[in-house]
Amino acid sequence: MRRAAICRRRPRCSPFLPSCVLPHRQFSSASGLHGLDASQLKIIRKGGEPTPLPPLDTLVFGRTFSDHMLDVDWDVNEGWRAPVIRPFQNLSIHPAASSLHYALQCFDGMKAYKDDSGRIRMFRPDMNARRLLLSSQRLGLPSFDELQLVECIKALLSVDSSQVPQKDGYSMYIRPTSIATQPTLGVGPPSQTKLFVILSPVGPYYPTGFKPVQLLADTHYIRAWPGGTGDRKVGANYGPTILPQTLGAKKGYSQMLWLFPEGDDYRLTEVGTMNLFILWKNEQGEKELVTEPLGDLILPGVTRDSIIKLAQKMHDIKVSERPVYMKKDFLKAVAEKRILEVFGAGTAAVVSPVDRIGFDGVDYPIPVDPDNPSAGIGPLAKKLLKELNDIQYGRVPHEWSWLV
Amino acid sequence: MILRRTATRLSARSAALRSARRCAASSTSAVGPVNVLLGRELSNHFHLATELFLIEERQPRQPTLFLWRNDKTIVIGRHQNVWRECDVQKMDRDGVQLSRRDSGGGAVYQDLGNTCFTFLSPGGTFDKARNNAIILNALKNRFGTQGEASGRNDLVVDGKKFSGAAFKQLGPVDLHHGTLLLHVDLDGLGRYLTPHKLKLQSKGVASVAARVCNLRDLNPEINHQTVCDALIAEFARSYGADPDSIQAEEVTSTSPLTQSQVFQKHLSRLQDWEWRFGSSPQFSHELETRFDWGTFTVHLDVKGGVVSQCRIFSDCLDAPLIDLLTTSLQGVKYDPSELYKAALKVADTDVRESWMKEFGSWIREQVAT
Repeated sequence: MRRAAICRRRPRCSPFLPSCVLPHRQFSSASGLHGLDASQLKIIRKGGEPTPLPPLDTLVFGRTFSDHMLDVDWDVNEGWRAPVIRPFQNLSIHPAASSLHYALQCFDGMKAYKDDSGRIRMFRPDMNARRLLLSSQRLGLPSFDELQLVECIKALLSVDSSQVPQKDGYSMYIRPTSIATQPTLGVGPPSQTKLFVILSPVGPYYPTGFKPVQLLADTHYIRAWPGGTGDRKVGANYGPTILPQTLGAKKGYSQMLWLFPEGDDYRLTEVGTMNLFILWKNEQGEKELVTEPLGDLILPGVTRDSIIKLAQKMHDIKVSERPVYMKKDFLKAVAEKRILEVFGAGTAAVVSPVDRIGFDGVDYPIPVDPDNPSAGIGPLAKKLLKELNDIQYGRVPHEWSWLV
Repeated sequence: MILRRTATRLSARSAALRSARRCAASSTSAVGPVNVLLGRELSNHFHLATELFLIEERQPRQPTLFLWRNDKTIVIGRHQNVWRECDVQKMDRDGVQLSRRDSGGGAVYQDLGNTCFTFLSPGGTFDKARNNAIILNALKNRFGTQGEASGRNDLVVDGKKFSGAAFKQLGPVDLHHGTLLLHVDLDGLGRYLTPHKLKLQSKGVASVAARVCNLRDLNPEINHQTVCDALIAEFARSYGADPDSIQAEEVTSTSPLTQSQVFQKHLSRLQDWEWRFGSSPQFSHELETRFDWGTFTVHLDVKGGVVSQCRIFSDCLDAPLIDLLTTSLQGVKYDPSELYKAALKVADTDVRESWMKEFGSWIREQVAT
């Protein structure tokens, strides 16, 4: 909207301030285009009562969605349009849209929780918004102000607040996605895009209690490589993992342990769609929690970062971010019985204990809890899970928990 | 009903009655001449919803005192534009909540160093002097502070304001609520508001801060618990009740009153993002000014020479007036004298008439080419 002609025609200023050109919309200073602006949010409600949740124990991850969604369009001439919250519905996309052809798509995943007072809390939403921004930039999708996105997500959670479950272990999974929508087949930077957010009420990843997983450390399939997009949450990283995962499942393994070859050895990078943590007694005899450092091979997980920061406050363990090699480090530790716990870390499961790793045709049992053979989760993983849950559900005040 | 929070640590004299208070927490009408409620949650929305529940549903027949406080919150007036007034991103980063009142006026900052009080009396029995005396005597007797009432709404000590209040006669119930600055972060308001240039022209936020004070600076014993204790005792004495006989009702998220439809309706309304934040209009015309009685930003969408949409932001204390004015301007010909007439149309009291004359003259002048 441009300024009224009246403004320029007025001959003199009144004693009070005259109407003047106030910057209504956030403008990206570099380009003069509209920025993503939560103050322009338009809310179109479904009407009628909110859809009641199905019985909580029947919730399957990602199958049920809330009543509304957030939808924001961008184009290269105008910048970001006004965000809209509207009833959940299918998208209409031109068949030539490059998100459908060249994987011009990125996404993120985070959760919101309802605390004992019924207030909704997001867990570190600034980290996810920042990550979506970095993923977007990697694909030539448009940038945006991260806190404006967080504000829009707050509004969406507020509209569907009654559908956020209020029970320990249950939460609202938040899926922001950014896709290219311009109707041309050329391979190039997108001129039209859409950012949308959908919400899905979810239950505990392990509804009947922790069941450790078995990993296949396959030496053929590689998830990420230097110079690639392994450190960004783009759809292109995930699709190709389905086949190896299915082949592994046929052999009795629940997840892939992704390896990266170096020389004649392999770095242990991630497990399934999670980051990997190893708790062991290292060769100096120290109790050490170790994970691959950030870089092209590793997705910067928010759970990963949270675990590192919580573990750093624990006095009895050393926390290291350094590569762990399969033959010279890991299998040696297995043989010398120095492995204490191995677990994956991610938004969906938070922590996922491992009790077996198959490599090169050999299965290596991994202790879950050395003091309790029938435990489904080890002591450190359990402690970290409790600390995280306490923060997420608002039982312990923490700057990581943002009220809606 | 299991109470999750412990009772106020009151003076030794009343400690023995704590267990009796727990049992009485679920009672909805106290036996005795007064009611006392203590808000235990730290959410401004929760307490405002409790207040509305007391006013609309419970409508106590005895004089009632409700004491509460909340975590870092900016509370804005009914008709303020959050996006212009507040640095929303800084609030997000610092974990400061946003709450929007139903009443008019401007923004205030509240944190755990700010104690809120609500006096409810049966309709027609409101006595401002008596309520103020309860507060001032409680502070004097217990902490030795010499405060006095000043102007219509304020309580001051040594000329510095430590309390502001608002009053409303609501039929079956009269409401008198306000704040007490005990140990509030006085820089909070300035930190989270944007430097709105019209405000800077007038008093400005910085100079307001110079004229307020925290009571704890006068006596280090002052905190939420000791002040509540003193207020409850003085409140009881004022109505001839024995302070030790007071059974304060603790209000938490598991209290029976939270099951009330009135409570739940108000809580979800006050928590709703659209109510609190809402959107900032993108209309064709925007006019801004400041009168002594309020700053104004008038957004008009003019189509075919007629005001097709009107949205007014203001910190004027008369919130219903803003609603009436908005409706009155909608559909009016975009013409100086028509707009003036539309403004005068809503003036149904002397005060409103003088205000609308000022407003109407201003808008007439703005629009005249």
